[in-house]
Amino acid sequence: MQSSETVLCQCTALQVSYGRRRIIDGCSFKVGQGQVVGLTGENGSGKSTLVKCLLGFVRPKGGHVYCDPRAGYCPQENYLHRAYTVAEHLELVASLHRGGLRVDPSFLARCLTLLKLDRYLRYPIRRLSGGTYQKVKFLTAIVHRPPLLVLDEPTDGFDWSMYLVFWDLVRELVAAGTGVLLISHLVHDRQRFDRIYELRDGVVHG
Amino acid sequence: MVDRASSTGWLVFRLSTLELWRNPLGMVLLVVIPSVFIAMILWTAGTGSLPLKLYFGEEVVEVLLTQRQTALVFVCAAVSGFLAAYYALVLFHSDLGYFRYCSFMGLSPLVFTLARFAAFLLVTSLLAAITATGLGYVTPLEQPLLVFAGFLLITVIYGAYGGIVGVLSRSFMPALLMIVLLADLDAAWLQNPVYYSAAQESTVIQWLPAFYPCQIVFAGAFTSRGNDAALAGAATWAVAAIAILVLAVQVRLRGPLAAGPAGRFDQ
Repeated sequence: MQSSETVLCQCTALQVSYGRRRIIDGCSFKVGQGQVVGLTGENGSGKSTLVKCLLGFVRPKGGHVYCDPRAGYCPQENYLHRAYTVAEHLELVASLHRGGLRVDPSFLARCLTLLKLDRYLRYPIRRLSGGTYQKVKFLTAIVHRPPLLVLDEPTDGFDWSMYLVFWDLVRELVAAGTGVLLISHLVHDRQRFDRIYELRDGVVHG
Repeated sequence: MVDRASSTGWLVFRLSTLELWRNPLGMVLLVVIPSVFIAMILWTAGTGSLPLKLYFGEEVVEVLLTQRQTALVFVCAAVSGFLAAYYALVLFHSDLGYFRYCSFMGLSPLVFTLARFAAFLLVTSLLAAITATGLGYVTPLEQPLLVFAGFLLITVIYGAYGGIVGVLSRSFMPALLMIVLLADLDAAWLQNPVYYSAAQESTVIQWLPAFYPCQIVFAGAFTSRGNDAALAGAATWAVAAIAILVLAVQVRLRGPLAAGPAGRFDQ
């Protein structure tokens, strides 16, 4: 893995609260170009809230945040439009040029094949299995080949082979310079990270 | 840039129209519900005459109509209003998280609102056309086109209201009850021409959103005169309601993204 000085995502003394409850209390960490950074922690420790705050979905109470505006994001929630087909969803996503990024049709076609999604293009999203749904979410996050990827438990529901395909694709993007921030509960993911941060009691340890 | 926005806008419009079309029960009910109301009136309403006051700006015109004629026209206007509000509520409330994500990916809230509202209008103009045509079969209409325009304007105003409530409310039930409150109070009760004609505080009724479109419908159904004052009033309501809808969508889709988190800094 390369260790470049280019920082794609950084927060300093970040504080986030929901009402009176302080979720994040003084987090500081960064993700650089070509790095795979793991974010771990107990259920409910605030990992998803932290990445939402980095991406601008949640307003922080204090601290400083920087995040590359072209970041790709795979949220934990099942947000996909149930009435659309996979093809319609991808057509809409491909028409959006986040931060000026464009979709390379050949990369999209290759991802569809690797993720075995090509056979599901005409399926309504509401009829997809959990793993296939998750693959569509992951593809949506990477389809623009963003310089920063923020993935919140992206492999939930993947079978073994798909888990390996997932890491092959991540490695390919990282080799091209993408920085990755990945929330994971899988112990065996640890060996794949360049750095691991653990969120405990609202503070990042790592 | 403009080309990209228009092509994405067209795509959102196409997908939204498909989404409505793929809900066949909803589409069927849009036609069945006004038909049931019309059938109930034909079955139950009397033929006794009622004196009614119609609004023409500075002038108030009195007409003598049967209970059946009055009820048919009023109920069709009211049904158009509250059906549009419920439909827009569903269209703008459901899957908002998806479009919030799309907004994060670069979808303009303005493009989203206009495209989705255009898809809604396509369906509601169909509803307005069907209602006006159906009404024309059961009672004579002096100016069918003006009646259609009145139905369309009430669907635009109440559709925008349904959209605003749907976008701003985080859960469905309070949003639904907000629709019930205004649509039932205004379109389904206070704009009843019998009630309005005898009201001691008609000014209050005139301030409500369904007033002008209902007066357009009544003028078109029962007189051969145009009603410029009501058209201007309804157009003002429609423009204001759509502008508020655009603003509400902007706030909900962009939220913190638009303002940027406090203390955000660049490298």
